[in-house]
Amino acid sequence: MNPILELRGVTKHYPGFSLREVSFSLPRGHVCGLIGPNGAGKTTIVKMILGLVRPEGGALRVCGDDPVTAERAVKDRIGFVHEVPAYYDHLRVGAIASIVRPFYSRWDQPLFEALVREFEVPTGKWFGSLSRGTRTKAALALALAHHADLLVLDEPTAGLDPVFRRSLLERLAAYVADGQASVLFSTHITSDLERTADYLTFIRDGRLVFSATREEVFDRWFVVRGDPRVLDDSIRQSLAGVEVGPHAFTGLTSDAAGVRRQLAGREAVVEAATLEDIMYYAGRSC
Amino acid sequence: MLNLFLKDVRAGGIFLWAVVPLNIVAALQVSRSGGAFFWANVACAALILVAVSMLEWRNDAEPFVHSLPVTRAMVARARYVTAAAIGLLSLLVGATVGTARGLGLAAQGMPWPRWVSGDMALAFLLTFAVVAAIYLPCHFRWGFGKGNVAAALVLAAGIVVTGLAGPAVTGVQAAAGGAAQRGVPPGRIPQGVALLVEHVGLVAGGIIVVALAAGLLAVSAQVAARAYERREF
Repeated sequence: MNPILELRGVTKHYPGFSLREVSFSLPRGHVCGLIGPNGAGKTTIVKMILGLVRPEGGALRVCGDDPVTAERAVKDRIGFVHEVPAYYDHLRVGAIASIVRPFYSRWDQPLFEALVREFEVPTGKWFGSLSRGTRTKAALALALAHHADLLVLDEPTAGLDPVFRRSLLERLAAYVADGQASVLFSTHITSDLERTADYLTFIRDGRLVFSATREEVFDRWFVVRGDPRVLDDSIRQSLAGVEVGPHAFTGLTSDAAGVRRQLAGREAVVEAATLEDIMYYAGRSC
Repeated sequence: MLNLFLKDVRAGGIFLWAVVPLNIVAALQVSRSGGAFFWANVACAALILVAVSMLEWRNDAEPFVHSLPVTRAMVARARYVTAAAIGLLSLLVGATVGTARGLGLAAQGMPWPRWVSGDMALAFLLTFAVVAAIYLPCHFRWGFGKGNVAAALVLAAGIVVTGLAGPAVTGVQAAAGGAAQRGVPPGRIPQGVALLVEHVGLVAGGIIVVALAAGLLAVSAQVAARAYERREF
């Protein structure tokens, strides 16, 4: 089956920043975490998927279609939640829904009503009077209510309380469970992805660092910590983003077996990396 | 496209309905002068059109609009439908106020004002079409801020060059048989339309003016749609 989202060698140039030949794909029925530091190019990729910016090279496909040439059909299948949801501040949530509703071929009004009830979004309040978290909940209800094949979430959990964040992650897992829909989840809160993402795509300085399944990522990357006196050149060459303090060194490796052999009997440990470790140390090495 | 137009009506309703009080307030101030009323009516309609764009700019709602299943060309063309609706609504309000003014004058035994007439309604439509045809491509190419400046510069240049809103050109006045002196609002468009209607009649003149306005807006919509395709957000 074709991937729901596919980028092949996508490039985009701005003054001072370039997205360089980024390639990754997202199969149906999965959640993909798009991670990277600020200015890495995550939002540019999200904007390309939505057609807000045009790729200058490479190919981008959503459900097999080009978002530029099949703009309308592609967007009918995308649900989008922006980091800071912006609609019309002077309209009530219900009025915004009535604007959005006729655009989508698969809009499900009972589902929307159930979602706003579940998320406790007051539909009678002006959108501009809602807290950031409630705005995000309203945007999620709008995005989920038209049975999108691809949900694109740009930092959606930033303004959410931990309880709703957890329930959202569970909802996203359920959303993709039927194997038809997928979620692209751009975030800095890597703990969200450790729970939810099936795939992880790491972008830094406009370049793809890796795109792999969660298992592949966590099987590959390990953190090495130890006494700075054991950090010789050969070990240093096996580590990324090495940080040396007065009492310990820390670094990231994709060759855990090799490093363990080199460290045999010395004061150091090789342990599973968190996503935050991977982002931090891989970022330092670039 | 209809949904996009309805989106403008729902989201910008607060401004669209402002056509009524704006025109009435303006009319109260300037109704003794047909020329001032005509141009105040055009200005009010233009203000409403700009306000609809301002609403999206102020709310940073363009990413939302572009997340909807619509093409950019549809977004641009739908705004022309909104512009047409604003023009017709403004004309309706202006005509109502003008008629009331005319009836008031008639009750006092004074002559019906020249500017409350079919040819001036056509002139209003053509003038607003010119304004919209200049403003919207600038807006869609450069956005609200730069687009407004660009449109203002183009309009200002147009006014300076053609005397659009200024005193009528002597030659036109002479050809129109001194229409300006007989109460036709100043400016090339109202005087030109008055001249046209005088020569071909209201029906034929109406067809010509409406066709001209529609053609102008159609060309402008093409330009705006192409310009909008190049925008990035």
